[in-house]
Parts: sequence; structure tokens; C-alpha cells
Amino acid sequence: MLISLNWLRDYVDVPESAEKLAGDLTMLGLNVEGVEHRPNPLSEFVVGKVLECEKHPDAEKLSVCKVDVGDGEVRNIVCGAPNVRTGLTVSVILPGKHLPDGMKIKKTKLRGVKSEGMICSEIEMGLGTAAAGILEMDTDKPLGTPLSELYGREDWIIDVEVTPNRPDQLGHIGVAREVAALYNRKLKLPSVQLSEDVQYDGEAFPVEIEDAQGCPRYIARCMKDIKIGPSPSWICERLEAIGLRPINNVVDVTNYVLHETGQPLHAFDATNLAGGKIVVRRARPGEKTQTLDEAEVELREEDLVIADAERAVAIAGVMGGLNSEVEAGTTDLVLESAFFDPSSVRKTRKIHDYSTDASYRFERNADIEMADFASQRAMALMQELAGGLVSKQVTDAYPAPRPEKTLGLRPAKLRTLLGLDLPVSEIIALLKRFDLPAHGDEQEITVTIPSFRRDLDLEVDLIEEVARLYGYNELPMENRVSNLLYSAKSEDEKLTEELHRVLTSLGFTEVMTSSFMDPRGLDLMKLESDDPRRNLVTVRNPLVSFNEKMRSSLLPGMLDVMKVNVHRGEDQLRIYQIARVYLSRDGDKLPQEPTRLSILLAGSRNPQHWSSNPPELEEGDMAGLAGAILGALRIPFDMDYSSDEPFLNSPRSIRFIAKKTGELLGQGGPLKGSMLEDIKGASSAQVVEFHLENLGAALTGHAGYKALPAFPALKRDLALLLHVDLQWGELSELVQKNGGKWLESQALFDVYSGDGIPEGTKSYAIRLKFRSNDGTLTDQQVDKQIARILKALNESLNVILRS
Amino acid sequence: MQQELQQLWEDAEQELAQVADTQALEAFRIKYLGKRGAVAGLFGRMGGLSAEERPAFGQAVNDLRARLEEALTQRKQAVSEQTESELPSGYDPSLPGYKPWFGRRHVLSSVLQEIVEIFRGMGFSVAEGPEVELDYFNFQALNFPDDHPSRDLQDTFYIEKDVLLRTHTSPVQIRYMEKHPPPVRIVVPGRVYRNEAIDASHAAEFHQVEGLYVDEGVTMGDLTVTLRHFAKEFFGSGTELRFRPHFFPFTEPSAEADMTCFGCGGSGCRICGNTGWIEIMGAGMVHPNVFKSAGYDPEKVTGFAFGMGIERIAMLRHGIKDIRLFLENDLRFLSQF
Repeated sequence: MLISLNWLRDYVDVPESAEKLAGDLTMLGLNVEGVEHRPNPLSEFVVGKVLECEKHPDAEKLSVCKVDVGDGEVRNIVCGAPNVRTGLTVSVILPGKHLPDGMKIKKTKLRGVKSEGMICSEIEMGLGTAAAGILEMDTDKPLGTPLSELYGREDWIIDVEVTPNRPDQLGHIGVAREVAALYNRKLKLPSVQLSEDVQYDGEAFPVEIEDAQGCPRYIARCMKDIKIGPSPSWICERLEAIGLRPINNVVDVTNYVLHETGQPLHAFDATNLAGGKIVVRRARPGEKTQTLDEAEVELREEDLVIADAERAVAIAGVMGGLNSEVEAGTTDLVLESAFFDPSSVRKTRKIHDYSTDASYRFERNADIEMADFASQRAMALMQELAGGLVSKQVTDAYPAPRPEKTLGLRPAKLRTLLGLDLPVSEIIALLKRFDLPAHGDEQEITVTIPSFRRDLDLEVDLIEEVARLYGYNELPMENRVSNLLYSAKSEDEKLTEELHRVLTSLGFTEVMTSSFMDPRGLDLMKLESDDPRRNLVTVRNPLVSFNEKMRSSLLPGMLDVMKVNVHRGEDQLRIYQIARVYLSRDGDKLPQEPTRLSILLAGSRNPQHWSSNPPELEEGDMAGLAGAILGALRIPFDMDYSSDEPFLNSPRSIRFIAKKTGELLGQGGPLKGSMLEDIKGASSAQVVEFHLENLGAALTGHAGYKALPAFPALKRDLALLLHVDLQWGELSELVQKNGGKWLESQALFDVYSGDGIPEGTKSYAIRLKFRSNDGTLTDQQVDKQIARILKALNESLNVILRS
Repeated sequence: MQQELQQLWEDAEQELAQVADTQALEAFRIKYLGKRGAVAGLFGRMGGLSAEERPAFGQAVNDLRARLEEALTQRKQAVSEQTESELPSGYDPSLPGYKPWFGRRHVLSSVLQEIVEIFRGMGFSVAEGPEVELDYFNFQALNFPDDHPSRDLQDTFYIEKDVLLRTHTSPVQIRYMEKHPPPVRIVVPGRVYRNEAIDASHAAEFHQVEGLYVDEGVTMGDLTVTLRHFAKEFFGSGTELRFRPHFFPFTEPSAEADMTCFGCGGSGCRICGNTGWIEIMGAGMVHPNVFKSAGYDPEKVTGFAFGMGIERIAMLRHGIKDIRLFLENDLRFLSQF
């Protein structure tokens, strides 16, 4: 909402500077988003005198003048105005200065005669629209005086953010009322009295309201014998100051009063209203109307319209119709000042996508009592500007006048909520500054709520009024928060924090991706049509198709991150994300939102270093990392190689199963090459995705202490020769089974195939560590155990010692 | 005798001065201090001395041994220091060392965590709720009437007529109060959605932290104290807050909080648009209609609520100019924080 400071000063004294006012309004709750200084445009013009005036030798309509602007120099100025003549006092603009429209005046030659400046009309000076020739001035001011000392004013335009609960601030008077409260000054309203000689006794204009719910009040006032013409400069200046274009005296008055009172008005040409009446009704099936902007609108039956006997002439509260517009030849008019139901206007505005100054105010609840004042104010102004007579007969269809509304305010409640011990008298005084009549005692203060404060509905609303005038920052600061409340971390929070800790310490960087995804990502993942991740949550009104579907997997987002980075030259990726996915489900309006941990690994195994080229990732690296992570969380797990994720390289991909619950913790492994086709420069990547709820369920609590070994361990290395198809997992399991109670650990430390060993075999070298808690083991004891292991390996898996 | 010992010491000292590596040190030790070394030899001669001579001689040999040991230790140190400072030719001590992978949290995630921890220290627990939410929890229960202009404040993505992507974390207020009797002191971190055209300062998906404290006798003073404490903890101890009246449907009185600009400390600069203040969050006293929706009695309890945008806070603190960077995940961006 743009507020002109000059305009505002009509209703309340504001000696303060615009900056001070802006700061104070902001702290009162009318957030000022900007203050723009508009210097007086007339400072560019000076008072001059036409000393001589002769016809231009080569141009019929031009005159050549000698002009004195008081600086001791007589200038030659060529002028085209018919009324220019010797002896006139005129407005002059000299070369180097700017007209209000920004044009710079230059020395020039007009038909061969030099011209050093311009003698100006009111239009050229930016003063209104009435100008048949140059301005003829009558002033005692010395020649050369800037015209800004005689006419016009500088102004400040204050941009106030008006929240939807305060429609009363959508007019200068409403803001002035806040200013009056702020500085404890009096609000001055303009007079709306008409003298007897500009009124006539006419018939009241007939208004039929078919839908009283949609239109609780309709006031019609009539004028006759008016003369449509341009508005005087003062009204144009004000409209232009707040960004409106002057049109004609009648339309300008309706706009002016709207921005003065906040009440939208509409003027009809009375002769264009068929049947000489106004009907407020819902649109008829198939009815159309042409609005002022010449667009044809197909009305819906829910739309409230203003009609004459035959057709719709306006969309109620939104926009007037072309067929009843006030035009140059209009002499008789009907002025509408009404109150329309906010939600009805809102629906119509939204459907037809028409937001106007009027609809904006009606939607937010106009002031039903202000309607009459605004109507009278407009009549008075129109009569002043366009002449004519105002009918004494007023139609005011207001079947159910607003009942007087009061609210109770308990001082005790105010004190509790604000923590402020304010005496009753002071509460009442503060309320009265807002034009809120109040009286009462310690028990309760009764406040009469005026119609312009539709936002005041509850006791707390009044408490806020008192608080904001008192000053939020003046409220005493209390300290109840130091009363301890137990703030436990939930198990989910602890798990998430632990995951962040483990992953970052393993060198993984956290990413956060969009909740939306391109569903083609699921096709790329080759998900079956019955995969639960195909049950997508769909946004009905997306910004762009990109955010139509919510993600059901974190993987597409992780690949997007990989793509962005690889394409920008970073191919070393160790990233993870802990975030929700959204899975639509039958029988519930709301989807499931389980949390997943997704990890992606690409590039080399170690950071680049000059000492050696870092090795590429091995296919088992993700399994190793995932195992380390689960180990750090103390989640015992089994792995199997039966992952059925269609986007993973299946023989190498792994399912992690919780030992405690038997549930699937997650799956991971190398991505199929087809998943990376879109990422130029990327050859491989490994991923794993864990289900956080299953991780949580598989936790085993705090680590339990185990006594440190008191006796030394014995180590044995075995080089085993086995069939190429035999897997480490199988071998290792058998070793474990036959290792006996002293086998503390086993580790694979070399894998070999090739020269020196028989075709069809490979060699795995393992290191076994034995230890007893009861004493130092002897070689013989361990040898016995080794023999048992080798026997089992040989019998079950045909594994032998490599010689 | 004395002379012999003195001679031995002088020889040893001279010899030790020539010793330049660990091998020679060991040879020296064996020669003088070994089991069959010179000192041991001297002790061997004790038997041949008279009872009167023995103590003095024993004392003298012991002294000699101590001096030798001391000298050997010193020489050892000197030799080892010399070896360490000697460099093979062409050695480049400035070659970069091995830098292991270094992982870190996403800047939003760590800012969120930090905010939550500050409030946790003031007794706030974390609560969460769904992102795909019912209109009831997101709007109606929070005192946004149906088809009211206050809904225009938050452009909404809809899934169905009454199902939407939450536009703020506030629905968790209702969900939490429905399940827990007062007192309640929670913070709600989470992702929210607005149907807004995306540019450098607007995102369609972003994050908020919501706070709620309800108890008997909670005042607006509690609200300002809490948020002032937060601002000092998060932005620095010199940070001040001011509160301006504002409008939110679910609080009354409502306020917006501005903090003193960290660019200029309040005197006015480009960051704060010359006002000295930067808006950082919305807050207010819980509206009685919200209490009623949640089944609380507004006559018995009062409370405050606040909410802040994490992206905005992170952008302010770290000087990040484009909100789109957060979800883009360029590692060159992520590794700056």
C-alpha cells in the first residue's frame, strides 16, 4: 500500500520526517518496506517575464520572445502558445534543466531562430491536464524565483506492508488513524456536507438485492447535469503519487476516495442502466459480460453481478462493465458504494483471475459502515469537480445493520500474557488512542469495536493492541524458560546423529537433494510396475513438471549430485544423504514418509597423492564400508549376495540382514553401467541404501565391556589353494566353524591366481589368530586346531595347502 | 691408582668425541661399560686390595662409571640429533603429506543441528511431523479460515483437495499438543514447501525450525528472553533483537524479530538496507483458537511459538548469495563450510 505523506497530512498532523514516521510505523506493526522521496518537480522552473513578443519570421504559429529571468541576461525563447504576449509573467525552464517527464531542455534553433529555453504550460510542468496555452502567472515574487516556492510540494511515498487482517489500513484515513494513535494526536476527517443549492429532489434510485448474503449493503446516490472533464492538478498529483493514472473527474474521484477511505466505489452512467434500476444477483447460466478492460468474461452462476433490468453491468466487487461506463458525454450518474461478501468476491476473483484494487479490499473485508461516508465524500468531491446536482434521495439497502459489538478485556489476562503490570486506567487510555471506546474496572474492561476494526474478535486481539502501542520491546523480560524441562533425545535422533558422526569420520560429505524427482529416474532404475516405489505422491499444481512427483527413492537425487559434480570436473565422490522418501499407500490420505540413508561412492579408493597412484575402487569396497558403518553402530548383521535391486550389478550386490530382527537393513553394491549413461565421464559408482527404522530396531544398546586378553596370541598364516568358483564367504564360514574356542580372528591378506598354481584354482592367504584366556597357548595346541581346520576345508570344499 | 683411573677417563673422553654413529656408540659402550669392559675390569681388581683401600677405590670406580654413562648418553643424543638433521641429497621437505578423505555435514544440516542444540539447552525437545499434511493441521487448526486471504500468504502445493505439502512446520504444534498434555517445550526442524517461482532468494522447498512453549503463566517476556538468548548464541554475544508487531493467524499478539545487522552493528549498511536491522523470524503468543483446536484450555495455559527459515539464517551468517546452491550440492560449495 503506497501512502503519500502529503495526502496523509490531510487527516493527521505529522511534523515528523518521513524517515522518522517510517521507523515508528514499522515498530507499530505497519512494516514500511520503502520510503521514496519525490522532490518538487517545479524546482526546475523559474518565474520569468516576457519583455517583448514578435511573430516568428518563418512560422505562422510561433512567436519569438525576449524573456527576463532575473539573472541580468535577456534570453531569446521561441514559443508556440497562442496566448503568449508582451508583459506576461510566465513559467520558464532554462537549458540544462529537466521537464517532469525527464526530457532535458537544450539550446536549439526553431526555424532558424535560436531559442534558449521554454515558456511552459501546466501540462509541460506536470500540473494536471487543463492547458490551452502557457501558464499566465500573477505573482509578486522576483524574477528567477523557482516555481517550487509558489506551487506544488515535495512528497514522500511510503510503502506500507498491510497484513491481511488489517483491511482498514488499505486507505490513507486508516493509516492516519494508526499515526494518530502512535503520536496521540487527533484524526481529522474531511467534510462531506453539501450546500442546499447543489442538491435536487429526485427519485431514489431503485435497487433490488436478490442475494442479501452476497451483498449485505448497497448504497446508490445519483447526480445529474455533471460535466465530465479532466481533474484539477491537486487530485492528479495525488493519484500519480501512488501510481494511478488520472482518467476523468468522475473516475478519478472514485479512485481517490477508495485510496482515502479504503471503500471501493463504482460510477455508472445512469442512462445506460436499462429499466432505470440496479439488481444485485447471481449470474445467469451462460451469461457474459464485457469488463472495463474490454475482455469478455463468461460468468459462472456463483458469480455475483450488478445488473440493470436486462444484463450484467459489473462483476460485483471486482470490475465494472464496459456497457455502463462513465464516458465523456455522461451527464447523469449513479454511484455505487456497497459491501460484498469477502469469500464470494474471493472465489470470483480467483476463478476469473482478476485482481483489482476493489476485489483486494472486499476480499479482506471492507468497512460496511464506511460505505456511506465514502459515498457522501465522493458526491461532494464530484460536485466540486464536475458540477451538477446531487439527489437528496439516497437508496441505502442495508437490511441487517451491523449490531454494536463489544469485547471484554480482563486486565488480569493481559498481565499474564504480557508479563506486564499495567493499571486499568492506562490500558483504557492506550485503547482510546486507537479510537476504541473503552471503560471498565479491575474485573473487566468493555471495549466497543468500531466497524473499521473487523480484525478485533477476541480478548487477545485487544491485548495485542495494548502491547503494540506500549511497545513490544518495552515489555519486561521474564525468565521462566530457565525452569528445567527434561529434553530427551529420541532414539531416532540419536541414531541419526551417530550416522552423521560415523559417515563424516569415514570421509563422506552430506548432501541434501530435492524432495521431488523426475519419475523417469524410476524407469532408469528398471523398477517393476508393482514395486512400492512406483506409488508416487503427485502434486496437483506443480510449478514445473520437475516438481510434480515426490521422490520414492534417494538414488535419483544422489545421481543428480554425481552428475552435477562430474560434469564440473569433480569425479571423486563420497557422499551420503539421510532424508525422507514419500510412498503413497492405499487406505490413508497421507503417504508413508520413511527415512533412508543413501551412500554413493565413485572415483578412487584413496585421495590422490604423489607417492603412488591411488587404486580404483574395488567392487567389494561398498560392502566393506557398509560393514564398518554397521559395526560402528554395533548392529550385528549377515550379508548375502541375493540382492534383487534391478539397478545393481546383481552378482556383486549385497543384502544386509539384521541378526537381531532378521529384517532387511539395506542393499548395496556396484550400479549397473546403464545407470550412469547420462553422466559423461563417469565409469562406475557404488551405492547402498539403508532403512533407518530397521537400523533403529537392530541396535543392541551400549557396548558391553570385555576383559582385555591377559595372554599373548599365536598367529598362523595359511596359503590355501581352492577352486576358482569357491567364495571367500563360504571358506571363511567353514574356518570359523572349525576354529575352536581359541580362534580369535581370521583375515584374508592375499589373493592370487595365475602362474605357479594349477589351472582352475586360486590362492587365498589367511592369517589366523588364536588366544586363550586361561594361559599361553603352545604350538602343539594350535597345530592341532590348524589340522582340524585344514581337514574340514579339504573334506568339504576340496581346499588344500599351497605347497 | 687414581692416576690410572684418570688416564682411563681421558682416553675414553677422547675416544667418545670421535664416535659418530650408533654402531660406534655400541662398540664404545661394550669396551668401557660392557660385562667384560674396562669398568668391570676395575671392579675385578677390588679383591686384591686391602680392606682400607677398598671403599675409596670402589667409590672412585663407581664415580667413573657414572661419568662414563653420562657422557655416553650425551653423545648418543648428539649423534641422533645429527643423524636426524642430515638430509639425503635432493630431499624436498615441502612435498605435500597425505591428506585423508575429509567428510562434513551439509551446511544446512549443521546450521539446523546447531539451532536445535541451542534450544535443547533451554529445555526444548525435538518433535517431527509429516511433510505431506492434511489441510486441517496446516491451516484450519492453526486459525487460517477456509478461503481466507491469510492463506494467500503461503502459496501451497496440493496433493488432493484436503492434502497438501506443509507450508510451514507449525502443523506439528497441533499434532504434538493433541498427544501431550502441557507443559510442552518443543522445537520442530523440517522441510517445508511453497508454490513460489524459484530465484536466487526464493525456493519452493526449504527448511524451518519451529518452537513452542506452553505452560501456565508463560508470558511474552519469556518469548523475548528465549529468542534473545538464541540470537546471542547463534550470531554472537553482541547481537540484539527487536520485536515488531506483525500478523500471523496462529499467534496473538504476533511479532517479527529483527536482529542487529552483523555487517554494521546497527549503524546501517548495504546488507540491512541502511536500517541497521535484519528480519530473522516470526513469533508470538499462541492464539486461543490454536489451543482450542489442540484440546488445550486457553484460560489455563498460555504459550509462545516462533519459526525461522534455516536457509535465510544460513545465508545471513555465511554470506551465501543464492538459495539454489543448497540443493544443488556442488562439492566446491559444500566443502566451504
